Amino acid sequence: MKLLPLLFLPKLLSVKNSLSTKKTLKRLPFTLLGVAFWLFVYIVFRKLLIYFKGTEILGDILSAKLLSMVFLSFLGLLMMSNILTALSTFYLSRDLEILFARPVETSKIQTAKTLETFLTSSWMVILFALPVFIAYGHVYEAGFIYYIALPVIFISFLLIPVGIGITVTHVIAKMLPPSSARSIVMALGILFFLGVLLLLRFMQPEKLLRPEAFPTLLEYLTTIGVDSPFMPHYWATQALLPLLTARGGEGIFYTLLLISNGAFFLLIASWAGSLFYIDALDKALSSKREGLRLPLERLLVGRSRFREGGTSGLRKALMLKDMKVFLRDQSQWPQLFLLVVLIVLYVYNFKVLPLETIGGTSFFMSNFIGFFNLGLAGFVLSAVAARFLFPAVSLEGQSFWIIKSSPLSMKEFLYSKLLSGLIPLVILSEILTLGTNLILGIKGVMMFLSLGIIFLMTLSIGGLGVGLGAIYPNFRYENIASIPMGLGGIFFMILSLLCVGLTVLFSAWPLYLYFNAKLLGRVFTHYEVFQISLSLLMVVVINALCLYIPLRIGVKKLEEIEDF
Amino acid sequence: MLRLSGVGKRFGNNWAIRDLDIEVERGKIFGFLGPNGAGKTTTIKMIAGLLRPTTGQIMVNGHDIVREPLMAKSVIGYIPDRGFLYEKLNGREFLHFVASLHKMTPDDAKEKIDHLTETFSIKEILGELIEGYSAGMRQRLMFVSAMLHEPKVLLIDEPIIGLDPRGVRMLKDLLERLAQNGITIFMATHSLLIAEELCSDIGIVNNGKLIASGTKEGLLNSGKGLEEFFLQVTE
Repeated sequence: MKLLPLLFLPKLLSVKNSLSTKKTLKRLPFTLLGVAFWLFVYIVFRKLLIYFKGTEILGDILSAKLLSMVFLSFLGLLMMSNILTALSTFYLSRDLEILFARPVETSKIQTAKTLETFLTSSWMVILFALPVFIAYGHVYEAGFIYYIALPVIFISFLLIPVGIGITVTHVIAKMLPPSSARSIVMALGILFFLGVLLLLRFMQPEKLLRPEAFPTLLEYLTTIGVDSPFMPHYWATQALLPLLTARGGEGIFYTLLLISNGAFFLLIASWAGSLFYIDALDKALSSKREGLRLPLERLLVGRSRFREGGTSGLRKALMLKDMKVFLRDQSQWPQLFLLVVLIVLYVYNFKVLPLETIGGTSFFMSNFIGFFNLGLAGFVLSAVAARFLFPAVSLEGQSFWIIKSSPLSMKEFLYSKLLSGLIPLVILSEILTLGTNLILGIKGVMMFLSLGIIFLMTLSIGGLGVGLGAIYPNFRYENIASIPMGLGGIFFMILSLLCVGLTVLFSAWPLYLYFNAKLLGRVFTHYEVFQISLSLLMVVVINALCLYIPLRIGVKKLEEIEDF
Repeated sequence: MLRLSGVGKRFGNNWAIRDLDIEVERGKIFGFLGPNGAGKTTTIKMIAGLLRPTTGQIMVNGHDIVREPLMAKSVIGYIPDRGFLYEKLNGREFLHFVASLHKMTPDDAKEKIDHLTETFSIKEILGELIEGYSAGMRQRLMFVSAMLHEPKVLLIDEPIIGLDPRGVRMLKDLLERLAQNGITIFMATHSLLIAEELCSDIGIVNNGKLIASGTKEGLLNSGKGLEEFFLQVTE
């Protein structure tokens, strides 16, 4: 067998071996979800393009603009994805020591790694670009030549970020230890993505839905689409458009431009590899992995040390260990950034809510929205807890033997996990509720009631999260983000949302009676007081059960667990 | 100090170990030998309280590991064969954390950590994150963590994995000294040389059953070496 296919063979065999019936069945829900999303993309683009096509003058411009934006977003995505993938394949991959210990030329390994980078970073883009291109082909009734030229144009387009990504990776790896470089690039990428997300949100796209804003549509589109003739997304658009509209153009020129640039950047990557790869790899394989630390760690845990004896010292030690491990784990950082953006967007959405147009400035409407907000906040808390509290037990990983073989009761262990998670969750929920209530102008009874209810909901969601995390632990996870995606995680989300729903439902009646009494300017009747007390008692009971039962079962499960 | 009576463990339909009767007295080093998959690690994990015996009883210093797990665990020091550690803690933080699990006072913990890390020659690297440690350094760190609270029973699964010759020598001296000081050591190993050199008592397990047990002298009275005896009984 030739060397290059041989070098790639283990990857292919790994993929083949992972396609066993059992595993395929396990992945079936995700596959179906993927197929549904694929169809959804196709239908949305098809409808959009049919609508554009029916619009005189603007139609074709909008279609071209959309295509250009699709290519631009792919380009941005692929740039980042290629750098991250190349760092893994060229410098962090576990097969490197096996490959370099054999009599194989470095250039051959580089070529195999380039191919691996291309496939790993681009397969998903290729998969989800297909419905877009097919929708374009169908709507514009493109000819046979469109489908023949499409793979050539698209693959040439994809090779440009591959070449650039690998080149940048070699340069970064030469300057920084690759294990740290990966985290830095990932963190910067996420920050960049979140920045773009915030920017788009602050542009208030909902304004476009107002009819009076239509004249500014073109102006809006010109600001979001950057059509520079020096950019690959522009070349790809210009190469495909003539094949769709059959209006002629410089399609061949732009196709050749893409092919030549794809080849050029691959050559540059190969040249950068010949200059830096061996040196940088030597550093990667021999350097000590020095953990990066967030400034947040100093702020939150400061100089706290494991320096207390007795039971209080034990709880503190468990919490301190969890915080240190969490803050030093670079794979957790993007989640933290996402959380911050989620909060900013959440509060900002209330800020830009057109309260005056829906009568929100009135006492009743703002209070109604405030109450509705409780349900929303509960949903956000459930999502946050699914990501941060549910995996708390599983995060012990295979180091769980240290806890299990120590004279520490599983009850103490689980309650310390709960406490570590609850403190930030309570702070988050109270800030969210307080902030949005203040924006809505909610005061008095409703303010206290909502702060109290959200506190109760936070406790119960926390209990559900940590408890179910102990009932369904996964100590052998490969990726932290995959823990809440399992059966237990889904079960947690269902129960958590049920708890939020029931809490909101039972809180609604007292609130209705309160508003009713206020509207009529009278005091509560004895029967109403009884109803209010009963409803609030139900709220407390539901939340207490959600807090207590999963924790109790979780403790029992941890005491019995043997497989970790 | 350590007594296993009729201990068995079943996984599904398969018995990993069954009808195990072992008694190790205070200050003895018990070598638990056997081929791969014989049930050594399962046994050690049951004594450590990580696995529940399907049958039988395990008493550690007079405490039943199933009924009084916390009392039993407070006198056990356990060193697994493949010990995963908290990669994102540094060595010092990890040891203070373990000391906290045993509710040791800070001063006591600091004194023990200083002394033991000096003995195991890892004091210099205590400030580094564990993810940067070599296999040998991890093994030494695990030994220190297991001995911090001055256990009465030390459970060791493959003691010399990852240790360099100096480390092995130091470990042998240490185990002998610990035994002289009254600490009971239960050690599962493949290394017959180590077992022959260190152990006062030996048990050989094969296919989940104890096939030979007794004092070293008693087992090897025919003049055979441990290797020859082992190969003969496990054939």
